[in-house]
Amino acid sequence: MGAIVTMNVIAASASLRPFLRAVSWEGQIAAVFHTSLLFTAPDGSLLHLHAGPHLVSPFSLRIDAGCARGLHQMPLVQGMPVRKIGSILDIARRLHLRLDAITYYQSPRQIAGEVDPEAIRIGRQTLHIHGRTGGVDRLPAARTLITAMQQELATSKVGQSLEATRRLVGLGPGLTPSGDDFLVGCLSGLRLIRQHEQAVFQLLERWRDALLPEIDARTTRVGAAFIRYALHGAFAEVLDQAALSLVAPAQPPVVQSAVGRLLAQGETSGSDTTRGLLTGLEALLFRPDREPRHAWEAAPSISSTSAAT
Amino acid sequence: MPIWNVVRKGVYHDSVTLMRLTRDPELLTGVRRAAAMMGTPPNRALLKEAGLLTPEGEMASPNDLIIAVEADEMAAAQAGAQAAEAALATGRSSVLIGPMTHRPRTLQAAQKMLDGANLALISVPGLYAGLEAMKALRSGLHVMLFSDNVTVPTEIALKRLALAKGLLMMGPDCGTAIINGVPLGFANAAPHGRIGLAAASGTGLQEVSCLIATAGEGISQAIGVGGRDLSDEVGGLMMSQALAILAADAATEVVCILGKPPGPETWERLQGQLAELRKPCVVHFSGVVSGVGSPWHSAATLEEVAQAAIALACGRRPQASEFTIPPAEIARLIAAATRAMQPGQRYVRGLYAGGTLAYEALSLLQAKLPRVVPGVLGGGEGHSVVDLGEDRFTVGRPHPMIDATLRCEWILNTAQDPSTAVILLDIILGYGAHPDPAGELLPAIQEAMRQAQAAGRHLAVVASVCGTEQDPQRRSTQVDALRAQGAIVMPSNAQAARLAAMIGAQLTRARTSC
Repeated sequence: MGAIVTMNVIAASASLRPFLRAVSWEGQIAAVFHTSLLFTAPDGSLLHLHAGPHLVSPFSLRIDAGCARGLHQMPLVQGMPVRKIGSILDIARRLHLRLDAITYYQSPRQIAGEVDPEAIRIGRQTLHIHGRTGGVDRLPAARTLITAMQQELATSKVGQSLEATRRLVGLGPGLTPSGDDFLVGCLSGLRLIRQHEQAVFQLLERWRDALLPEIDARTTRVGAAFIRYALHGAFAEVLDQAALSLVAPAQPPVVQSAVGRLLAQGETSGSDTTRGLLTGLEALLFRPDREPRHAWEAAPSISSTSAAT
Repeated sequence: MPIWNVVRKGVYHDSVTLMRLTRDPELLTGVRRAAAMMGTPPNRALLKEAGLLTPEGEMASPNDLIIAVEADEMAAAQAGAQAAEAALATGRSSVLIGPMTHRPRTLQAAQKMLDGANLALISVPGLYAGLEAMKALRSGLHVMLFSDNVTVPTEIALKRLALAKGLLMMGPDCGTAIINGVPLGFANAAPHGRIGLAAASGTGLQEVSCLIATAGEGISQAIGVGGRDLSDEVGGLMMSQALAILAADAATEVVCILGKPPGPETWERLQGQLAELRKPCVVHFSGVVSGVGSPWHSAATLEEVAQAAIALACGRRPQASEFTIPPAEIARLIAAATRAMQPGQRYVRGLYAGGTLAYEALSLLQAKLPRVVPGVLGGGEGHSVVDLGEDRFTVGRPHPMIDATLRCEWILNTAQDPSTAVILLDIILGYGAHPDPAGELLPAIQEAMRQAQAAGRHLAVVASVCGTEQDPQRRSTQVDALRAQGAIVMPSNAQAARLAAMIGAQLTRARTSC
């Protein structure tokens, strides 16, 4: 067996704090991707190890970008053991992750701002130019559901939107099905300003109560993890940054950069998440009780929001 | 229409792989539609609606992958499913549809594929290279420009833009770099360490980094600046930037700069910068010697750069040595090589793949031997070194670091010359190089030795291997293969050239004394 490679974990999602601070546990590698690893803790919770400048899931461990190549070259396969021993996470006796200098990331809980229609317009434009097709935009069933969700969100009628949301879970291509990505994006936007929207707060509570018990039966393990965390207010750093750029006075470079980073995730995941994020925020923006701030503001047509690319 | 479902239990693949699983089968003749989806209830419903679900697929759970193929006949459906399974097994596309199929076609698309990328390696025809590099710099990316044939004004404009944005503009004609531990272009797998390099020379950078790695030290950064950077026209814009980066880099304890001799004005400016570096520094510009009291150490060869850098990193005073193996062993090698040579065998003939290595060998031969043909383009009578990577030899054919065909021809032709006593070779390993460079040359070496022997001559082959144990070709494997064929393999290019020169000198002395 070759020498053990040691890498430092720089940052991690706050949701992983209990696992990373526990003295010891044993898990296993759940999946080996091109540039990342997925492994499980004893209770089945997922941990996502990757390189790069931002956390790309709500259960991420991030190593330095320069380590990506080393990670890719490791002879690791699904099922190999993962052991937490003190401040080391031992991956199959081939890789040691040092855990003693981690910065934990927590999704923002409250935002004092409000959705800026100009920021949303720039976000849509960025999606239109850089987004990928092949996810929810190509699923007629998804478009119908999204339309229903938009209408319900805009009027805060919970009943039908819950059914539409439920039917989106597990729908579409990808390890996190496109419907899951869309829903997580939508939840991110809605949660960010929930303190200022009592109706939205109640809607999210209803969604959480209804979806949590059935989520594992309806979607993949990874998709379920994303949604479960989202329902509890935990998101990927890249998603939070995109959402924050859209609920502040529009700064085009900031919006383009943050949304662009989100769009770059996965094959269609980034685009589907962005569509969900914009849809959720637009639903708040175009509520009947809100006065337009810009002359161009008008309720978006269904086609313009669901088939932007 | 036949439908074929394959269910893979409990598998996780990233979305790029899953998308490919759909594309690959659809490229096969007879396959009409294909889908690869996780077996969630909504997806099973979708597949059923689309007429793509079989009873096997119906049984899938949300964590199972369903690969569904519809084809004109069952054999095509099965072939499609097999193509998808093969793609799953290898993690790569198993259908031959051309090397560019899944690659981004624009810089912008490439940036989208790799979030957080901060460097673009550009290798396009020279006409477009400047434009692409400009685009990359404008979008905030460091650039390594592999392409040549970029005009000097364009190079200057690119480098000024890079400086204004605080970026690296490595090249044009930059073949080697190691940035944050990642080898770029023709680079070697060197461990991360405390020695930083900046070079206007690709194979020079490779030789120094490999010798440092072999000695157990490592590289913090190895920055290529391009062959023209040190000219007075370009003014060392990027060498200056590289020096500033290495000076500020906490991981870099010792700085080495190397390349062809700089223009006088450029050298003047660089000296000022070197004086304020505040880190030990080794300089290797052919022909430039440090004056008394210079704040840097001047090295005569690439190997000396590595040796001096390691000594300085360890707090020792650098000491140059011609050979790292005992004098008795050198004497034995010379005696063994010259013993069976015929009176007409007089000359050392260097046949090189690496340009800087060729020039280094040339200067070392010139230091010890009379009648050395100037330049590295061949021709003339006497000892010679030919750089087969020069433009005139590579028109319409791959570089000798990638394809040894031309060098094999030269080895055979040179061996037939009865005046040839020594063939001097460099073997360059690393990323981008041939997967087995020694193996490519060995049949030619073997044949050359056989022909010489048949003509009653003994031919000495002296080589050095520029590489590390971590390189894909593994240095020791290449060395062993060469030695098994009877070649003398020296620890560095400088030592190989010196040994060849000593063999040549010994032959000259023997003829004179006769």
